Amino acid sequence: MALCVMPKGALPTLIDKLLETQKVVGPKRVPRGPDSSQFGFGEIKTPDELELDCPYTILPPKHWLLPRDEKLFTFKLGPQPEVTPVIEAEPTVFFGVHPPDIAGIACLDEAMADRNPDPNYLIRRDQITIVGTEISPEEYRYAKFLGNDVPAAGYDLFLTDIGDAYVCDVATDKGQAIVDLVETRPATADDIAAVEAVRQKTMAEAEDILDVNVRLLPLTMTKAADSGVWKTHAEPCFRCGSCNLVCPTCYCFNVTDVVEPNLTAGARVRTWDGCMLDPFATVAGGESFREEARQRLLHRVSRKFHYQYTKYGHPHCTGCGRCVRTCVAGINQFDAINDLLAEQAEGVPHGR
Amino acid sequence: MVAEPTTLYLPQFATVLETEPMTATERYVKIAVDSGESLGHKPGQFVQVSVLGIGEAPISVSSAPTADPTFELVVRNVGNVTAAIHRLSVGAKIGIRGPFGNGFNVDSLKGKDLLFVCGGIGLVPARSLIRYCLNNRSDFGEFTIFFGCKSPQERLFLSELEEWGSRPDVTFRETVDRPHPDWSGHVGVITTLFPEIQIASPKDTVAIIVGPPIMYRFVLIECLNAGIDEEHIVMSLERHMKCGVGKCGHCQINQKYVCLDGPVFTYAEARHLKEAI
Repeated sequence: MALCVMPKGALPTLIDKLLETQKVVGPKRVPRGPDSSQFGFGEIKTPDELELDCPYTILPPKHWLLPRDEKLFTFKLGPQPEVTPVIEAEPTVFFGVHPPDIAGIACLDEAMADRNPDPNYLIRRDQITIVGTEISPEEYRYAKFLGNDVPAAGYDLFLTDIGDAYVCDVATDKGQAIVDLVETRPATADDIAAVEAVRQKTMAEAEDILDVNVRLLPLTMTKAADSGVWKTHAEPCFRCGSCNLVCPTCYCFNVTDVVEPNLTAGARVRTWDGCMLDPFATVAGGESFREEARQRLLHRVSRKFHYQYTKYGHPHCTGCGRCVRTCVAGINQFDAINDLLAEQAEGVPHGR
Repeated sequence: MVAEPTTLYLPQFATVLETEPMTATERYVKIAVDSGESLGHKPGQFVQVSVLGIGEAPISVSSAPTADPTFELVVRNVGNVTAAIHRLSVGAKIGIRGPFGNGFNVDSLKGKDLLFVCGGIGLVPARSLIRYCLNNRSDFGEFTIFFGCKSPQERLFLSELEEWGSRPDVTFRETVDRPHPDWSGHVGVITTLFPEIQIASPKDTVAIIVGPPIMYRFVLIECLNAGIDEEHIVMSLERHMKCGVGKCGHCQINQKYVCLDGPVFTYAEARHLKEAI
């Protein structure tokens, strides 16, 4: 829609005004306190909690879209039981979402709207406004190769820090309503040049950008199932599921009933689950269709670069790099993909 | 917090009309949907059954489609929810979502010779189709049913097995895996029944295979050796669906979701799916 410029000094006022009408979620230090060097998407109660300069957050804002424990309905037990649907949704601004996580939200949106639209997610999503901010050098490596180094779509408003001001890219009416809360001025050619300079500087600071043609990956993955690469790379896997939990596009879940201590009422709850975890593909007879870690890694990477890619027309990996950062066993799915590509190019096995 | 009407995860209530043990681990349950409307299922579809406070589990519908609100399940006691279903008495309220899944394509079976190959509890989903086809017997050619169990104690629907065995228009063969003092019939795994019959026109035969995962690969070999087309070999696959609506990911086989794209697949489709069987 339009570009405008907001002085940095207006940010606290903007947050305060937003807080008058809705919840604000953004990067803040976790678990607590000014000395923490880790960041997560949490509820912002005062403007000074917001850490827009943080390099990355432990989790994407996924848990504000798909809560870790989400009530689907409540029930009353007894001879005439009752069920009452629950949809937890309220107006919320995600403030400070980086381009890979904006792409991740778009992936969740299409998966949850597909075939059987998920009302719990979609009603919540409808009340969310996304304010993006620029990617950090630490996130650049994989995001660049997946095209998520710069924002493409999926945000309402996008802010670029040009030193003493933010250049505001207003994409929707919801975004316009936010910039209307404070004084702004129209952007000039110099401001646009400053945005480009910020992006060039980030790219210059980034390391080891992967040089892979993403469009080849679905075809690569169709020929990947029998490769020894998966065994080699999955060997140290503890099956802890951390890669699933931190992934902006992993949305698989379990469904359980939680009964209150009075034993007369309770709730059906969906909780995060992960395809790397043990009972995930086990059936009633006890058989697991993905018993081995190599099968699970193949499945997980295939969801990102083959199954979902083919279905929706783009990868369901955003290049945020969290699975690589988080893996205690040091497994890097991009290294596995590189080995696979090399194997297919050279015609020589790269695994065992 | 906003509560709004939503049906995707919300069960409708139904009432247990009959319940009786069928084997040491299987229980027959007849259910009526409280709305008074028909469940509206196709043979081979499944429902998500809720015992509130315990949870929800996917269970195949075992009865043929009907116009009334009743339907039948046979539930093996293998987990929390199925154990709770076993404890239900007549009049108990349960939750139902569904029916889900593609079910068998009954139109594609018309005019064909049918060969059912059912292993153990695989008879439960197959029975919905067997009963449907027997209700419309003249629509089909040769009608053969193989049923194999590990032991005679695992046999299900005994009166129906007897009926199928006595019908002149049905070829019914049974086996148990190992000899047993109470069993005077055929002994051996289910594939040992294939030499017992002649598949007169394999190109016009559809094989419907439902059983434990281990059974498929051996039965598939027999069917292919008999000359049945890959497109005419139909299988129903088991997965533990948590949602039934293509979201939770538990039933995914490569690009397919068993809850939406299955549970019924032809061998022509399934042979390209690693992990399918």
